[in-house]
Amino acid sequence: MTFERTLDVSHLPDAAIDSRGVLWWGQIGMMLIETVVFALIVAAYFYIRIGFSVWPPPDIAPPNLFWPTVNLILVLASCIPMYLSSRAMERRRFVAAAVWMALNVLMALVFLWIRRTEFLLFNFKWVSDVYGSLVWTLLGLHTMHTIGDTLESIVFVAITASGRVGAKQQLGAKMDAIYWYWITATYALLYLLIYIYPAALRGTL
Amino acid sequence: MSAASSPAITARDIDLEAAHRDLAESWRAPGGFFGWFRQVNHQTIGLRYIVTAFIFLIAGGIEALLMRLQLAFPNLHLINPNAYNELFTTHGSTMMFLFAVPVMEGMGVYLVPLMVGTRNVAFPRLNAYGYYMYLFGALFLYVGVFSNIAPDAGWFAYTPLSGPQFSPGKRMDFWAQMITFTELSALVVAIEIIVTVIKMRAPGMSLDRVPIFVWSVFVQSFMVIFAMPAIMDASGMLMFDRTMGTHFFNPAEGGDPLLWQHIFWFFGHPEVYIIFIPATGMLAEILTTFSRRPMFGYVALVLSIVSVGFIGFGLWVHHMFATGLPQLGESFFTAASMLIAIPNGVQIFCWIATLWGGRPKLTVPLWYVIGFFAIFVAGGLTGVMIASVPFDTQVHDTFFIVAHFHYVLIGGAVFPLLGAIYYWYPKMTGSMLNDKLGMVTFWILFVGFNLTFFPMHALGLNGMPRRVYTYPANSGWGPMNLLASVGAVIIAIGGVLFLVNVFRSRKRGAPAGMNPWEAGTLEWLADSPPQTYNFLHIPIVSGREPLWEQKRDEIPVVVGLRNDRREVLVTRTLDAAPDHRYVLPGPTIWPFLFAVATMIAFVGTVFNMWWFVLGGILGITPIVAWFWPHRDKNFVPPMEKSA
Repeated sequence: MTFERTLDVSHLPDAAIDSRGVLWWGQIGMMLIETVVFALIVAAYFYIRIGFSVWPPPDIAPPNLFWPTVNLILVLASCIPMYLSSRAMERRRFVAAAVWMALNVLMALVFLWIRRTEFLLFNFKWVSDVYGSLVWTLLGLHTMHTIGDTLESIVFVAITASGRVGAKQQLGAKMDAIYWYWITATYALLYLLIYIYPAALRGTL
Repeated sequence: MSAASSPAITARDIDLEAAHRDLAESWRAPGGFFGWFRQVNHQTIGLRYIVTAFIFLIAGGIEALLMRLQLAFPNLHLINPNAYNELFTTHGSTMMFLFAVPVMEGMGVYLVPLMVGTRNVAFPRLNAYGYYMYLFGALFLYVGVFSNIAPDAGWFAYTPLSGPQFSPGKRMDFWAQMITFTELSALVVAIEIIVTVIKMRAPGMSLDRVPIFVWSVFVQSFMVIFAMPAIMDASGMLMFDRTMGTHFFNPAEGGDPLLWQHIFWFFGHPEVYIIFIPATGMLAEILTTFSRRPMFGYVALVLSIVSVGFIGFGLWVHHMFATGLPQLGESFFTAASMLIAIPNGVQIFCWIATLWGGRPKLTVPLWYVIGFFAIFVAGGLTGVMIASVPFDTQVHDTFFIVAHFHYVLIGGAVFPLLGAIYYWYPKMTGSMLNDKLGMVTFWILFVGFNLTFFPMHALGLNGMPRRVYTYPANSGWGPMNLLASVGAVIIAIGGVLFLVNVFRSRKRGAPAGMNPWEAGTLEWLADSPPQTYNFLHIPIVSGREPLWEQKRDEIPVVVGLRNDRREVLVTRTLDAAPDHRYVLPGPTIWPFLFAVATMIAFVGTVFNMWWFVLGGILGITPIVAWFWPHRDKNFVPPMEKSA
């Protein structure tokens, strides 16, 4: 090669901590996949529903709205420390970032504990009938995602506290936060589908 | 931020020897037995996909031969009905999930970074993890096959036949979990490819200069993202029905067996295009190179690939015409099925025009493309026929359908793939395949293929159902079946010759050099086989066929990337202007160990759902280690740097 024309990139930054970074695109892709996974089960829910004249099936008790609503408020509120954490991370204030994310983890653990109550409040199991199968699968899958992201957040608290924070970790923590918003939004939609919709159909809203 | 053109750096300032040495050191692939589990280079992973997929092609081929042996004459009893069920199920599942999709992924993983001019895929460790998922899933299915736990309800596993009531035992659980493994792998590759294409193209490779093969795997990857979750949902629900007593497909408790068909084909039809679209990309590259001219109608071609990607999702119900659908639904899906012939037609005309306007050089790869035209067009014509509901109802579940989809899949995907192997083998290995043997192999495969599958049209029209292990003599189906079986043997001979060529040429083939075909795309700028870091300098692209537009040593290059770590250039999505530098991770064992934990979860779930929890717990250590930041020369915290 003669190198008559070259393009010097040595002055470019050696990382990006926003939507220009590859990790950002990767995480968005993963969230897209998981959205499709949920969307198709929701589609199956409505496909099955067509075959029923009474929905939910008569044996299903009207949903108890108290704990799910508490949980919805809790998960929405938990987005605030998550947001503050990822903002602190951007400004390289690692102590604040770790503290805010730890607060989010605490709220997530309470959320998961109330999730247990949500399951216990159902008067049906996944083996009861197809309605039970759909609801347990949807909420179970969401629980799995929540546990996964909570573990991820715990790891990020540890990384941040250890001070080993480079640009990759900064962006990683931000994506962890975005994933948590996704989990929150998914729960809000599931809340409508699993609790509000049947309650409205039953007239117990 | 944009990079300034710097005339200051000239050849005198660049110590090429040192650059080579540093790059080779930082991109070195680990050696030894344990090194095998730590590889993260895209070439290694890509080749693993391709080789593994071809091994399973042989397995699926042997299963097909056994079936043809059994059907060669009426009233044969070489293979009992149960074994025959297992054979066609394993054959279909192997060819679709363990060969066709992974081999296309492997070609994408190997070629995309080279063709867009970068050093690796965007997430090298995830890439390694995806391969292990595929490997474990494939081995899992075959452990079942050899332990008399082979699935036997057909590759699309219709409920209620595949459900707990009619398929007791573990056969269909093995099938369902194999699906989970391989789909996870496909999704991982899709993310890799999409992000690599969006963010890591060489400077100057704006979207209208992206090679058509790269476009095709890019579109394929999006299809994977929207289609594969469906089959993961479906196989998950089937598993739950079978092992945990849910009722998704159980009509007694309000479930619906047809739900399976909807979800399965929402994946299953796009799947055909997931296999076919990369193949069209391959043949576009071959056609361009050997027609010695740029692709005719590049924009129309790319748009038609994209629109096939969209319309491919509106066709799934045409697999279900025989299930008694509302008439409006039938009409809609008939129209959609015919509609997809339009973009496919546009592609065919673009290719013909390219050949027409060029100076075609009839090499072996180009012969495979010509073979594709003949076979795929025939398959497309029967496709338009069965898009019509009355005709489809007539031939549903007959050998006519078998003939149709083998024409489409073998003609549409395997022929371009074999052509692509002939085309890129010199790049992958550094030696040429034998031309004469290649030509003989092509004709043997072409004749054998038509001899095997053309008679099946007639058999189907004469009423021979598929998935029967034998047939009576007075049916009159004997001669055509014998012909098909003879054809299958000829295909097998062609396959053996192909393998002989591939193995012999590695050592004895003529040296390929960098660009044996005088092609125009970037992979031909690299050594054959490419160095672990692909390019000494990232090239700057000024057209669709960079190597045709500028002489090799006049191509402008990127300087200023660090060679002492795995640094790559990230560029902007639309115009591929340089944006920032980025350090990719090096060899690591954690993706393998995480894959083992995932395997424990998936395999254990076949027997008890608690294994999933165990696998999850075992997975925590590797995944944390995977993401834990390392303090090595690849990790320079900005704090220290500014200090």
